[in-house]
Parts: sequence; C-alpha cells; structure tokens
Amino acid sequence: MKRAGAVLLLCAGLAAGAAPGADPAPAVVEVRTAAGLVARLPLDRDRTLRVDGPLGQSVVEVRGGRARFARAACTGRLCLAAGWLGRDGDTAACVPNRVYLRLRGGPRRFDSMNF
Amino acid sequence: MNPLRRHRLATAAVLAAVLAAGCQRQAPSIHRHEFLAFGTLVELSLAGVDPELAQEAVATVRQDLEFMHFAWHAWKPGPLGRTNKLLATGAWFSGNPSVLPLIRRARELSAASGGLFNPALGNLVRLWGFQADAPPGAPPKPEAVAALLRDLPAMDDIEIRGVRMRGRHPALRLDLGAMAKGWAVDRISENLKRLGVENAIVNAGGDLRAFGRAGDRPWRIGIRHPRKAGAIASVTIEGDEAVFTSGDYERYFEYRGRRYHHILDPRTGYPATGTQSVTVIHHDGALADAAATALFVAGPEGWRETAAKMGVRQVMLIDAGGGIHLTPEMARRLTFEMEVPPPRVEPLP
Repeated sequence: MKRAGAVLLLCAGLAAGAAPGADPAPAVVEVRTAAGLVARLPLDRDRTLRVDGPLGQSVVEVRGGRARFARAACTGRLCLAAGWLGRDGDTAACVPNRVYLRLRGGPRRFDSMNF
Repeated sequence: MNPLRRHRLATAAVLAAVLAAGCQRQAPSIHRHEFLAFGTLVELSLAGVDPELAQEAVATVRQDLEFMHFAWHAWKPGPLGRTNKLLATGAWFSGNPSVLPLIRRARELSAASGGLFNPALGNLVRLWGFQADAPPGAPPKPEAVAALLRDLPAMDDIEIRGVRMRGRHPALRLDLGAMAKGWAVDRISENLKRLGVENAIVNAGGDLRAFGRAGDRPWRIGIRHPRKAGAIASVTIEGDEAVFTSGDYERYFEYRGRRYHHILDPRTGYPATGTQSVTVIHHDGALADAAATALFVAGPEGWRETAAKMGVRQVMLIDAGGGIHLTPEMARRLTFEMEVPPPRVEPLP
C-alpha cells in the first residue's frame, strides 16, 4: 500500500505540474515565417535575430528573459506595439511581413489567450 | 496461481488503470496549430482527435479562413469590395451569397446597438487611415470629420428585398471588421463539428470560440490585461462559447504625444474615450464581437444599457482609469489572475 500510495502521489504531482494554473518561466521564443519555424531562441541568452520576410527584415530581440519585435519591415508597426512577450503562450505577429513569435516552455498557464 | 497473488495482480491492474485515467484527465493530448490567415495569427487547439482528423481540420480551417478573408475584405477586390461599389450606385443588384447573410446580421446588430456598432462607416475608417497597413501620420482634419458627421450613413440605408439590395446613401461603405471575426469563428466552429471535431478552440488574433473540453477538464482561457503583461483574469468555458475583447491597444498611432486608436465613435467621428477594453462572452461569436465594439463606444456610462439592448449579459469593461466593471453574470465566471482594484459589479437594467 505504501508503494501504491507513493505512485499515486507521484502521478498527482506530475499532473499538478501539467495543469493550467502553474506559472513557469517560458524557456524559448519560437520565430516562424510562412516557410515554418526558423529559430528557437533560449530566453536566458540576450541576442537579436534578423528575419527576412516579403517586405524586408524584421528584427527580434531577446533580453532579460523576454522577447519582442525590435524593428519592423512593415509600415503598420503593430508588431512593435505588442511590446515585450514574457509569458508562455504569448504571441506577436507581423502579418504583412509574415513573421510571428510565440513564447514556449514548461506547462501552459491557459489553453488560449483572449485579447 | 494462489489467491493472494491473483488479488495483488488484480489490484495492480486496477491501480494502473486508475493512474492512467487520472494522468490522462490532467494532461490531455492537445494538438495546437498556428498559421497566418484572415489577416491575423490563428491558433487552432484540438483535443481528442487523431492525427489524421487534426490534419484535415487544420487544412479545412485554413481554406475557410482564406476564402472568408477574400470575400469579406472591405478594401480589396472581392465580393464585399464589389458590393460596396454597387451600393454606391444606388441601383438594385443581387447580393453576393458569401456576404449577404453577413450584411443582414450586421443590420440586426447595428439596430440592437442603437447605431454604436455601425459598419456602414467605412468612409470614416478610411478617413482615419485605419484600413491600411501603414499607420496614418496624423489625425484627419476636424472639418473633414465634421463633413462626414453631418450626414452619416447607417445600416438602415441598405434596403434588402430577398436577395436583392441597394444602397440609399452615397457615402455608405461597409467595413465589417468589427463583427467579421466573430462570424468567421462561428462558421469555422460549425465546420469543425461537421468534420467530427468535438473539442476545439479557434483563436483568431486573440478573439476566440471554444467548444467541448480539454480531456476531462474544461478549456481555460486567459484574458490579457489591456496595459500590463499577462492575464488579468481567466475563465473556464462552459459548453460552446465565444470570448471577444475590443481594446484601445489593438490598433493605434500616436501623434504629438496623444494616442489615437481604431475604435471610432459614430457620434463624434473620433476614437471612443473612457474605456481601455471590453470583454464579452456569448454563445454567438458575431454578437460577442459586435457587442464588444458597441459597449466600448458606449463607455463606462452607457455600456449597461447597450448590453441589455443587445442581449449580452457576461461583460467586463475596464475604464480609462483602470477601474473594472462587471455584470453579476461575468463576476461569477471570472478568476482574477493578478492584483486588481475591487471590481464594481453592476447589474444590467
């Protein structure tokens, strides 16, 4: 019974970790274009990445555990307005230049974000 | 096999089954797919489907959204673009079947909102420059806004008889951007169900419709704070519901230190003031979408009356000062995810 209890507790612990409500630090930002995934950048290493799209170069910046569009090729600049992304599941997109970012890492806090 | 050993094996088998079921309940297999469509980032989450069905569902959703984007774009050649040209002539014409139901529904919703949701104001949107990818450098001249306001077109200026329609106002130009996304996620959800998908979230640029569950638990949706990073609140989906938010942060430009956002007040011709965001939950996505815009325009003083007239009862409005206003029905649903000022719970009239 002790062994069974331990297995049950272990399973419950794993499940709790996977359940929404956990608030882990995101581990990477995925950079995608129309062609698919072009980079997966760890958030614990500051850097910038230039990504080519149909309108020109978008610049992605990773700093202090967050990521953002630092420069836009489009004229709308809505991707810049999205600001820093800091939570798992956060997204920003430059639709005209076909580049988008999503933070991933650890269990998701929510199944989807409304904004 | 001795009875004790058999009993132990049976116990282990039952335990294994319980553990497996328990783990499955907590961590359901969810297929997530992201792609650019409908002029935005679309995220499709599917639970309880095999890989083949997931692949078929994604392909169908992409095709549907690409067609809808083409058909309902007010500013590019296509069915709605052509409809706008024909409405401007004042002559009767046969409505395109891909836009006619949308226009009928827009008329109903505009009437219910008392004109605060007014998709006939495409020319006002264009005057501000919000239809273009490029942000306008400056707000329009006040006299240009005043000229449009003197004789404002409304959805009543479209006459519909069966499938025939005509425009009765030369300045009428449809821009269905404030409800097309809601209508789209409704149609996409119907199509997914027809394919055999029972559990899904269709999220188009932050606005979404969710149905079914994520395994044995409900879908859980975070609602982003209009000014801070992260979710201000969360809600679990009950059955089949749309969650729509209109916010002043979605599309805007700054001119001489002042922010001008894209939600225009038909009464003034200028961006609506007094509100940061409005979130509406309803089973009808098109209604939730249009209501989020209308309530944003109505503002902290008038949102309750407009919500009652439009038939939406689950509403959160965050005013310009960051104050949170909730209907009692929304207050019962929301879980706040960060420290917030005490919300004001305000029943609808």
